Amino acid sequence: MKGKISSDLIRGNTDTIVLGILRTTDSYGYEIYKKIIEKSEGEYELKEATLYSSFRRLEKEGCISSYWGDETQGGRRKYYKITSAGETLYERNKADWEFTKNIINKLL
Amino acid sequence: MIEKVQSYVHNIFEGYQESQQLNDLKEEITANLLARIEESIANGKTEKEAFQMAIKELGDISEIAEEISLNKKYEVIDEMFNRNPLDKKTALGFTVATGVLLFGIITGLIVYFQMGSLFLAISSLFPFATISIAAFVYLGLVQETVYEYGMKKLRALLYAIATALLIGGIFISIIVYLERMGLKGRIESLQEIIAFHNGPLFMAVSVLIPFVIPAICLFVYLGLTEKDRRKPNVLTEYYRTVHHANSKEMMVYGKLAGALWVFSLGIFIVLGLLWTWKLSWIVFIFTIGFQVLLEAYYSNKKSHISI
Repeated sequence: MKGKISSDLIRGNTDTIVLGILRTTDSYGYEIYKKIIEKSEGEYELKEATLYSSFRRLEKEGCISSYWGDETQGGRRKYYKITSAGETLYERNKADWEFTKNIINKLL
Repeated sequence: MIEKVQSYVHNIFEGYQESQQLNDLKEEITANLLARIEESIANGKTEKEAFQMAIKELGDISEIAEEISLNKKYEVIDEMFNRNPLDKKTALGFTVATGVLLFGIITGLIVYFQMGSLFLAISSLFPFATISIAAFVYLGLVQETVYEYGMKKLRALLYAIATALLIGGIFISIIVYLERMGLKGRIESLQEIIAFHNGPLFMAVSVLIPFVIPAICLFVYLGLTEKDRRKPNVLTEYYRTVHHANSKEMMVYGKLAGALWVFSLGIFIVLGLLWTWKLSWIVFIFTIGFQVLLEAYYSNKKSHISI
């Protein structure tokens, strides 16, 4: 039986997923979106709107910072960059997830 | 295609409070939608299909727009209601200054009605008025408001000193004039005054000059070195609409005002030397008039855009 994806569970981790992508390189909305789809091998359908909320939340908390790209054609892109607070949050969330995963594996 | 996407995004956010944040979000979304559409077209989709797919994938944006819009509203409400109340010291200062001024006015009136002498009345008003008005200037400038930070104490003190000099000078010259005229409040006839007043007027002006010139120089110096005290939230509001045009404008204004005073000082000296000191000071009255006009012109221009 093929499993169904639990969107709620993933949505709760959107911020961490975004941080994980920004750890490798600065990026903008659509590129981040593509990378997430790619990483999930097409299993996870994410809406762009979810990303915008996540960017705003992370930026407010000082986990990412943003700057405008210098594209002239087709509007400037807003790039995001992870901060050291963001790195810390990522590490902590990842450790928490490993811990939770183990427990749930034991329980289910 | 760019226009199509822009107008689509614009329509999504129709009805939300305009703000810098919202405009940034719109621009960000537009750029991302365009990137996606471009890629779809490169993969062989038609423009129409690509556009439809992109907006389908966008999802529900209203939540975040709502949040931004709400923040903006809070900001506005904050500005409207969160006026910083005066701190106790400043309030006390204003009260004392008002008391001093009132005391001076009442004393002046009593003296005038008791002794019938305008000269004595003005003389008794003079110290109270000078001190209290200088105090008002000082307190007003160091006071932090919703839109501006308070001025530095030393700078405000210089403004207060310049004001005191100017007002003190005017008072003293009026006192000198009245004393010389010996009017004592009773004017017999206009002819009498005109026939008699050249000497006293000359004295009054010569007394005025040493006060007024340093005061005006101080004002010009302070005006030209004035720093922007507006708060960041006011500034972003301001730059968003005016960009850089206005800072340039203010620089032009500062230079014009400076030039105006330098010219008038020059004319004053030349007229005084070549013609008569008695009348050359009138130049300054014109200068003040021009300065006020200049100020009115620029502040009018400013208020149009920024508020």
